[in-house]
Amino acid sequence: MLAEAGVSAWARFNEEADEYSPLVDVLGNASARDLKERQKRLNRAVDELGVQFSETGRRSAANPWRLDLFPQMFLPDVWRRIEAGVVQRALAFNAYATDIFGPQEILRQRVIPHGIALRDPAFLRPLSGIEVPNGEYSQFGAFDLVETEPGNWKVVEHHMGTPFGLAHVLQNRRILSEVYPELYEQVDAAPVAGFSTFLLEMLRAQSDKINPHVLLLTAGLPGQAYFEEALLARHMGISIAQPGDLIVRDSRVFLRTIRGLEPVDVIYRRIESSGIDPIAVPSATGYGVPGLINVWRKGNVSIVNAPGVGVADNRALLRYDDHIITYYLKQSPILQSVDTYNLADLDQRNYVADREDLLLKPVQDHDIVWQLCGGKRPTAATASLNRIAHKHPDYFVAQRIPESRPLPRYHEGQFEDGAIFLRVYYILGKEPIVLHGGLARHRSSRHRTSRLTLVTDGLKDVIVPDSVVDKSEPKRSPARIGDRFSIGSRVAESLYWAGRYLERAENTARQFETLERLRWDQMASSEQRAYWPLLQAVAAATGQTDVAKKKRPPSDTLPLSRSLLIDPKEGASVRTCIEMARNGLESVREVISPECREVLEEISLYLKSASSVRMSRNRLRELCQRVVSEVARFGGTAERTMPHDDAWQFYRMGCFFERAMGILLLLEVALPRIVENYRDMDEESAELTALLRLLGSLDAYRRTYRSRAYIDRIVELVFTGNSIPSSVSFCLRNLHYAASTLSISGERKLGQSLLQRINHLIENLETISFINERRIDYLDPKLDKDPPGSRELQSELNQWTLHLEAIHDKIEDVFFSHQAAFARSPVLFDIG
Amino acid sequence: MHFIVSHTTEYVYEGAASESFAELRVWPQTNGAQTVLNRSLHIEPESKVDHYIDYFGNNVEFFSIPRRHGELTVRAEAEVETFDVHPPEAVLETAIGEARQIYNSTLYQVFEYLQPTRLVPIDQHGRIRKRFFRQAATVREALLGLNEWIYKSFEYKSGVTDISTSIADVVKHRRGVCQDFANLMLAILRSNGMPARYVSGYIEAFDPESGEALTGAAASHAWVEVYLPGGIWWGLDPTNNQTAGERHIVVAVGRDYNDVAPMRGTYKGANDQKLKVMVSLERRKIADAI
Repeated sequence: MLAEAGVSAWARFNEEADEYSPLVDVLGNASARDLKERQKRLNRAVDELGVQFSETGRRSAANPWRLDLFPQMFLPDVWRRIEAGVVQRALAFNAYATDIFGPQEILRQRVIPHGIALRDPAFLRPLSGIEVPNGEYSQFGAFDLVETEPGNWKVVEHHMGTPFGLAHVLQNRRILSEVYPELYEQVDAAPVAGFSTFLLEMLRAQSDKINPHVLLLTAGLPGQAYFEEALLARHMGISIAQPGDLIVRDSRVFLRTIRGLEPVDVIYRRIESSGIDPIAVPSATGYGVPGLINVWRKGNVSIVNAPGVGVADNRALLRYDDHIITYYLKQSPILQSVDTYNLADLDQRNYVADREDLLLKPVQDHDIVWQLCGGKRPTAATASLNRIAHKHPDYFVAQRIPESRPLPRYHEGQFEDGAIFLRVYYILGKEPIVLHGGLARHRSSRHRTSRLTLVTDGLKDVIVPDSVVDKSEPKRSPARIGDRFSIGSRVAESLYWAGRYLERAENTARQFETLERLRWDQMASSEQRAYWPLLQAVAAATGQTDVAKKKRPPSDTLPLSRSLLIDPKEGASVRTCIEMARNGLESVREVISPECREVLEEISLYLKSASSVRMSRNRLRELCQRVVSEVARFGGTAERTMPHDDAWQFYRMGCFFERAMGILLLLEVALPRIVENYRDMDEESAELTALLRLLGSLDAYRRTYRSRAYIDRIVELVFTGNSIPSSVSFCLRNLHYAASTLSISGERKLGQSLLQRINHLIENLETISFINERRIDYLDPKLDKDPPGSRELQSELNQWTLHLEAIHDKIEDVFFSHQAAFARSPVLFDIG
Repeated sequence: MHFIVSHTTEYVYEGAASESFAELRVWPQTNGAQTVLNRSLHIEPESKVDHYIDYFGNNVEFFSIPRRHGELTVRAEAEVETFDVHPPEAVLETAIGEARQIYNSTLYQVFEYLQPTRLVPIDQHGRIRKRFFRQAATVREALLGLNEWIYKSFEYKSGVTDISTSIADVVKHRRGVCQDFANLMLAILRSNGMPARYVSGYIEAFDPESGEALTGAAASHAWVEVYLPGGIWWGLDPTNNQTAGERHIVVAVGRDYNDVAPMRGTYKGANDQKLKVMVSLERRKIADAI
């Protein structure tokens, strides 16, 4: 048995591996087949997550995340030492950052070479002279460690600015303990799940307020970083903002929400210091929140971690870490760092020159470094980095990464030796906390220049014995829960549009499916002409207006169907709508349940792959049916898995608005043409029946009127059928209900006017011509008056469309763009 | 001398703008060579102004106008008295070699004024850089020589360069404005181990007594200060082939333009803007001012 041999051999070879004996027992006794099966399950579980985490939605292909069966473990004493060393280091380097942005005593007293600090691209002068409470530049950070001999760990990297990877830590533990619970039965593992709560409590403690408004500020770019941010925000129950969601006004920073501007008290910063405020820190991109640094300087917002904290991650400092710890804390360092050489120093540069066992790294992983070094980022080749470092040595260090104790790594049926890096996380504050766990990852041979991604091939869970956990009493008392905060305008807008796009996709798919069922290809040309208005109407409802103008039907409608269903370049095709909904929701991941995301991901992948196949009529029909059922599944999943809060209501508003719009657009094109051809005494009109089908209301019609289809009844049903899901009345009432649950109260009663407007429309539904002019006995279908002409009908329907559009504008003004809010300010509005 | 300085920046937006924010560095310094007697700032539309002092000791003002507006006017006025101050002869007679040794012993103070920045890369224009800085040359010779060389070799021409124009381009075409000449001079000085900083300020265009006219007065002016042994900053104005004197008013100093930009801001909404900057220096007799 290979597996048995692997683990046990490793254990025999590594005598000082007491901490692993319970693991060796379990894994050593497992059959090869069992291990293989478990690894398979691990892979499946991370792939499922990978769907959330990958950028493009490609599944395992793009997801290198692999979690190993063999976790990293610790003896209590070793861990306690790491813990103490991590806190000590964090405190010392916070003091360093405070000093550098302040008096720079450490440079004046020549404790470290001043060039390291003054040349540091992360030392942004505009951020100096700002008082950071308690000097805690980095409240939440991490260090990368490597085990040089059993129990002895050394520091390789600082991540005091943005400690990436916590989401992976939480997920690794969850997945491995689900897949291999026996492992955790044998070891007494300290839990890791509570760490995000500590993080939240630390963030809340930054403000004096009882219920501070805390949010996470991100650039919102898809990728690993956003995966983590969405997960943390969800776990902490805080909202995510992008720079454009925030606005500075009178030295305070506000979030644009559906209820107007709400002041923000604490920002968990996940964008670079150099990109946080284009005015304070001039940058090429102009990205950021203009004026935010000024708000921070005045103490009107707390930012975690403090802008500028990056100076503590400067790799050139690692050579002097003992000086720094001794200088600020008057203690001797608990954790050493690995040998690090500064190429800015001539002697060290000469030493490094002819050694190939050292790893070159820039002093910072900032883009600014590459700008200062000639403007080009290095390629993947080692030589490329070497060339830049040779030309601009001031910005580079070389590190000797020592051999470290190998751990077993399960790979294709056996355990191999592998060396790892360990990332340990801390939270400062009154009582510093070190996460009882961490991120172990296999060492890669090359330095990666992006801090917000990980080489995720070969992660390990990190198990710290529960005995190290201080069981005395909870470190923080539960905070009072205050009012909930409003959702951001961007979030609301994304959900509203997702609702609209999904509804539109469903509508188009369903209508095409209905039309295709009429077997166009088998119709006589006169029949085709009769149905042409319906097809035109469906096309028009999806935005294809030029089709609506054509008098004659094409001999084959397949190309039209194809373009309206699967053409990614067609702005309103079903595929585009699904993509738009998906992309929109992607940017508000924190409010979408993973289950919803999964459904949307599946339908999107399905459409992508379906579109690459040549489409027959049958295939198209199949595709339509699939879209209809998947969108319905999304609705059901959302209903079941998402809180029915404001965000949800905006999704619903989008759905109902779009449905109402779809009905009106369909009627606006189809009805006048049907009226033109309409004869009183006709046999049951096939077009009218088909129209009812398109509206999904044929059964409802029959149940209501128990008669064949008449135009007036259809109009009545479609406009005023309160209980018919495909009626304008139903949609407007639900729209009204959704908007009214938003509890738009307080000083801004803007939502009231929206509600009034919707009400007004609902009240006027019965005034539409057909209904108003003739009240007839249902059992006597005889017309007592001529119907209005097609032209009047068209213009009347068009009026309705315009009214409905005005509702959309109102929603946009009140909740999303806040133009109304600014317009309310007197005097200044007159200028210009 | 006694001046009333007025610096007006006017934006007229095409359509309404909103969410205007700006940071201003338009508050003259008080130092050994000048004293600010009075200072005021007017912003239209009216807006609350915050103030702080930055890393380089400059006075910075900050304001925001979130509401819609079609125009924005910022007028900074100051009453400044300037003095005729010169570095001691002994310092100017120091040999370059000796000066470099002195810098090396106080490197912490001057370090950042020797470093390259995005706008001022160093160690590039090899041919130009060495000729003025022989070890034996005096500081005065070297610095005035460089000042004069730039003045004579480059044509002052406005409108052909902007903030983003690289020094290499200026050297290639041999023309530019005060800002370009200041950048070029900084690059040469720093490449030769001479600590130097960028100065933004004002200059009196026309000397009412002598009739001499100077260049760079219509808007903010820019020149250079060199750190002399002993800790004195000496102003050199390559645009006018002069040392900075009573007719120069220093507003802000830094490593390059980015540290001293008179007005840096953002706005939303309008597609286009018309910008007008007016600077006026009015010399007063002492009696008038009191």
